[in-house]
Amino acid sequence: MIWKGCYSELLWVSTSLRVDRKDIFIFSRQADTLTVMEGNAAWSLRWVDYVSTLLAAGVTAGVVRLLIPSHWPALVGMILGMLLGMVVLLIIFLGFSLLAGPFGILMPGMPAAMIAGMVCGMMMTAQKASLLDALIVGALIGLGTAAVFHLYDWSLHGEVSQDDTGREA
Amino acid sequence: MTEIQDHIEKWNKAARTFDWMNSGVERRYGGYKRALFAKSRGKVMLVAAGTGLDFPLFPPDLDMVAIDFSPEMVGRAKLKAAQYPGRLEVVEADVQDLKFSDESFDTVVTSCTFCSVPDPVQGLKEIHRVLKPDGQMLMFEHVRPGNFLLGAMMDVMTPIFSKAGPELNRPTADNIRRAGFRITREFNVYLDMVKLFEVAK
Repeated sequence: MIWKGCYSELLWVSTSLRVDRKDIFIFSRQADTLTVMEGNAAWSLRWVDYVSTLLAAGVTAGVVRLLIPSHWPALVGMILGMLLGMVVLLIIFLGFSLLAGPFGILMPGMPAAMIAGMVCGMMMTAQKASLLDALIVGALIGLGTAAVFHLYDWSLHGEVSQDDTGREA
Repeated sequence: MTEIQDHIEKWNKAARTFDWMNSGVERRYGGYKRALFAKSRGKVMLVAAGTGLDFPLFPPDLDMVAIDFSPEMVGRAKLKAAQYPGRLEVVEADVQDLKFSDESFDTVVTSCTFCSVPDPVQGLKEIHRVLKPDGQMLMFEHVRPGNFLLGAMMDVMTPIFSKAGPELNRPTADNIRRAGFRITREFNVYLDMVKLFEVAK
């Protein structure tokens, strides 16, 4: 299952790099984007998931670095970091879901923002890290989470087998 | 105010920004919808048509009825219906209490519908009633993910999202079966959350 995901993700990356300019809606000024994008929209918009998840986690880490003081208890830092992550995600979600639909933004974005908030909240209370360190940690968490979700998506994507009673096999 | 009136009021308010808010879904998943809706045949009913955003995704020359329970949505959908190259009537109606006679449709189409219907099983039972014995239902729906953690995430988010939009944790496949239908095809579009269903009576 995981190999199917890895293979599909590599295929997506290689195809995306060679994607025809007319298929990238963001550069298109045509009114009927459905016609332009039909067939490969879900495919070529996957990069938006990476960008939004990276931003959700990265911005959360930066905000946590700026707002949570180092003398607070670790547990408070983690919980507050998680809550800040939800607020950051909400803002990013509203912007990016208009571009590429809500599901690919929300599903990886929520755990990424929560984890980045918790980890950076803990980091800040354990030892004062630099803003750059926090941003790098957040960005890595975001990229990693988006990649995991894409692999998971590839493993599930497609036909669901049904047995004779119409129940999922 | 009754529960159904609350729902109608919520979607009346949502009508103003509906096209804008759903532009991402249409852009990303429009191809999947178009491929599914191409299987429509005979007399067709589109349930919860909203502002008619999905009308261009249907093949031309169908005989269609589009319903929605929100007067604001219906008003906007009527404007888009005029552009459809076929017969398309937009009617204000609640899927939970349809006024159509038994076995009057060959195809019923839903598009992110049963995340919003207050009593989804009742709505599906009504569709079962108005669908012909050899009829089909074509559905593009988002459902509660099967994964424990992701499902719990959707349970947490639903009370927030449902204030102004749909519920994120509906067990739609189970609801389809509870209404007496048989799922003949199920396709995962995104994770096991966004799905296409082809359903027989």
